[in-house]
Amino acid sequence: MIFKLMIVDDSNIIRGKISRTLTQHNMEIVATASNGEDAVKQFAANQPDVVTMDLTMPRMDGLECIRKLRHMKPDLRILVVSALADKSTAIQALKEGAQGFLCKPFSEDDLTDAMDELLGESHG
Amino acid sequence: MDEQQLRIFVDIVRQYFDRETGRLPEIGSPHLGDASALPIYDFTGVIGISGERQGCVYVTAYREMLRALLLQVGETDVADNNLCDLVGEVANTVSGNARIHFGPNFMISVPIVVKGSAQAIQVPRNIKAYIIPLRWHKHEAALVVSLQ
Amino acid sequence: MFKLGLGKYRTIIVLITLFLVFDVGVLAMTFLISKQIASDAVSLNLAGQQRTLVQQLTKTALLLEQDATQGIIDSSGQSSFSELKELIGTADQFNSTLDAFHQGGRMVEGRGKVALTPQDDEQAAEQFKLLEEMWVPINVELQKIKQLKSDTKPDLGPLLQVLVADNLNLLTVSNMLTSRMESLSATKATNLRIVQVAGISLALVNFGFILYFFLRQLRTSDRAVERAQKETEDILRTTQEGLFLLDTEFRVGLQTSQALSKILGISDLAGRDFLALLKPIVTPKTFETAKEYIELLLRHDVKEKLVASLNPLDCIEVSAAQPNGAIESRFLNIRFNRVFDAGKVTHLLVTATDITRRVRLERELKESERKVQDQMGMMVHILQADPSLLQEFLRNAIKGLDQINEELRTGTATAGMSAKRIDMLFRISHRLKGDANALKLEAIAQSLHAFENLLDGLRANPSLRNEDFLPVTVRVKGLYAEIHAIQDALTRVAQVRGVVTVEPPKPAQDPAIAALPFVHQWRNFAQEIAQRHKKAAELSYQGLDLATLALPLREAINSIVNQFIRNAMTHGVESPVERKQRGKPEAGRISVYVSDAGDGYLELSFRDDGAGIDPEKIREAAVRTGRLDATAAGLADMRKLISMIFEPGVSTRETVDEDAGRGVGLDTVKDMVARMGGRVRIGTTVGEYCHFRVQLPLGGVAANASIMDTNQEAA
Repeated sequence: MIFKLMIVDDSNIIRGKISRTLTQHNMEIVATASNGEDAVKQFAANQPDVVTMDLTMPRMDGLECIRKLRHMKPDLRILVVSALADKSTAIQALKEGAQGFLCKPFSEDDLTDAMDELLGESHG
Repeated sequence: MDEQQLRIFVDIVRQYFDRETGRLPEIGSPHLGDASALPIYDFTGVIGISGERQGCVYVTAYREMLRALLLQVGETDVADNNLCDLVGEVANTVSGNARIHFGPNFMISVPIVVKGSAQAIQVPRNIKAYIIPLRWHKHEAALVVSLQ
Repeated sequence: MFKLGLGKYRTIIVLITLFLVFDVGVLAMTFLISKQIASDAVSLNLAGQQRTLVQQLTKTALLLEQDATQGIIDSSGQSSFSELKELIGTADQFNSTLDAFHQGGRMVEGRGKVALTPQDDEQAAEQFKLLEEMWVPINVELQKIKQLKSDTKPDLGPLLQVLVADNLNLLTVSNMLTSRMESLSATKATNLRIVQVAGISLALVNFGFILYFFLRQLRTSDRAVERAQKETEDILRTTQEGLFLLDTEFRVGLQTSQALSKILGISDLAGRDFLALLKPIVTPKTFETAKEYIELLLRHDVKEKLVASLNPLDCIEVSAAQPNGAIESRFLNIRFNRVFDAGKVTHLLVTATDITRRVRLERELKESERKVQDQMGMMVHILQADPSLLQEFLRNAIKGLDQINEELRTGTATAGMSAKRIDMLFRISHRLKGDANALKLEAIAQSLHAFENLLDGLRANPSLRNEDFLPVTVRVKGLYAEIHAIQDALTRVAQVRGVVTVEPPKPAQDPAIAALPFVHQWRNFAQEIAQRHKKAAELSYQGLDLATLALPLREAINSIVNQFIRNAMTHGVESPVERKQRGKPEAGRISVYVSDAGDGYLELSFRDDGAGIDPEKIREAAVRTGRLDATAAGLADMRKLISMIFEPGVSTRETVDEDAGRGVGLDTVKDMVARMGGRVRIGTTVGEYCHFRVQLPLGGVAANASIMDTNQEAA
């Protein structure tokens, strides 16, 4: 099965890296967004299965964005991709409904491993 | 590390004088000396140190000081034997207290007493030793710490 | 699951079923037997009754006969009539019993069922048959009498005749039949009882089996539980990790590993609130994050593996007071793993590990890596530095440290260390620090800086004791060690290279090269200026034939060398008298060396053994020409000053002549080199030498033209 992915990150470089890595990993990039507002719009239009989410972004941060997206699609799989500077923000994001966390900086293998884990069958 | 250990040695010697005679020795200006040029006076009590650090610590004194010290503590027999005993006693005190302070990583030997500027004192070559001059009742003595 | 349980209990279920079957069987058997015995009693009664009936029949018949002979019937007729009636009744009873015995199972006058009939047994049947046969003629006569009209006087003669004839035989046969039937009934009852006893015995045996199996199974499972418990205990007692389960209310489970108390430094953990235990040993922020992290694992749909990096307790430092009063600091790693039951998280398995050794080791490793880096850096600087300068620095450093030590030694017990002495130590250290910085020996410069800070602290202390100098002495010893370390390193480098100096060896002088025209020209130029200034000079050249170079490069080198010669002969090289006084040969020596550095650059080295560049003279010149004011000039460092000799209008010559004094010359060199994308370096020691090194790109103009720099300083 090919999962539909949306990448939400304010860094062009990170978006490119995730996009390149996961396209080769049997995923289809259906949307990218550089802020929370855009992400919500893009989500409605493209209905992805999986979202990678940065936490600190201009115009609606990752936490709020996760809340909105989960409201729109409760079984959405969300991988938070953020720096480890603030563990407690990351934990908040997971409580809001993200299922996994990937620490920046990450390698391509880190990303594909995390995706496999996120989309795997059962709990951890 | 060095400083802390030096202070411990100095304090032990000072306390010894204080306890035995009620008078603290004056501490001279600490400095360094090459192995070939260390002060060795008439009587020297040496303890060897091995383990974490290696080398020796010794207290060396002139005959006059030891004699005065003996008389001060009420001993009238000031023959060389007793003077040897006395300097050995000082080294013994250093050895015993150092054991308490330094713990099991320092192996501290039983003191040996050397009379005159004998060759018997094994000081590590190639490193500079700390020399702390002592002065008590105008008599000179020195504490020498030479550790690798 | 249910199937599995049944399997385990199958034997016992089969045994209990059997037990029940046996019990029911025995009950049924008992019921059957008692019923049978009751029925048999009826049959036996009937059989006995037949015998009585025969007697009664005979007696009644005889009475009737007697009445008839005495004519009683004739006179009254009453009594005879009742006796006749009795006779017929007895005969009917006998007949019906015969019938019952014949057919079996018939109810006989409400007295129960006939269970036993003579037909059941061959012998009894024969006797019964005999009885029937004997009865037949009697019955025939009886039926005749029965059919008579009641008012008719019966003729009993034929009846009595058969009765009397067969009476005894009938009695005997009835007796035999009765006893035969009694014995039959007894046998049957005995057989039934044997079956009953066997049933009960089977049930008992079965019960024994049940007990045996049940107890054995109980014991086996008990043993298995015990063994499992023992294993768990062994694990918990032996493991070096702190293990426990945390429930959804954050409570510590009842079983914990023995190491746990030691690791956390808290005893009696079972059943306590984990968060309350954690709170005093971590920072408030770590505590909050830890709480949220645990909640996350317990109550949210996250991937355990993907959130592990958020665990705030992966490396926490905890401190505890030791019995001897010392504060001991340890590092702990606390991990959480979910425990699932039926797809739900019921507990977290918590693993606490003491990672102090690992953390310390990592830190030491980092520290030693840093040290190696430092040493490597120092080695690089050592290798880059001019070896003679380095040696000189080391000599000076040892001399300086000796001086410092001497100051320490001579500070007597009574006089102590005066502020003046401390200042002296400070000055020595400061000078060495400057030199170390110039050579980029940063580690040593830092140590000296720390030493100065220490001295500053002492200067601020109004009541100094000699002991306060213990740390100073310790630092001095450390400095000695550092200087020795560099000396050792240099020795090793020298051993590797097989030479004492680290400067690359120069090729031997080639007479053919030395005779080249451009060398000749330089030599003449040097002589010419020397003569004008009443000096003597010798110029030697090694290296490339300039004719092999491209024309612009050749011209540039020629021009630069000429400027250097002019500069050396006017400023650098002293008068023969002065040189003699300094122990130098009368003629100033100029060495020129041009080589292909191999990295795309041409290297020109120009060295004279003159007076070197005197920074004071540059200062004066800078002030004189108005380029710096007196204060700025005083503050300018060696680097700044030396760079000024390349600036136009600055000359150290007070009087201007054709060779020098206008302050032109070296500035043109600088411009030329900069234009070509090369660079200039200068090394000099006052009274000893001045050395210019110029690098020029071989392949024309380099991309970024560099400014000259200096890397050496006057002693």
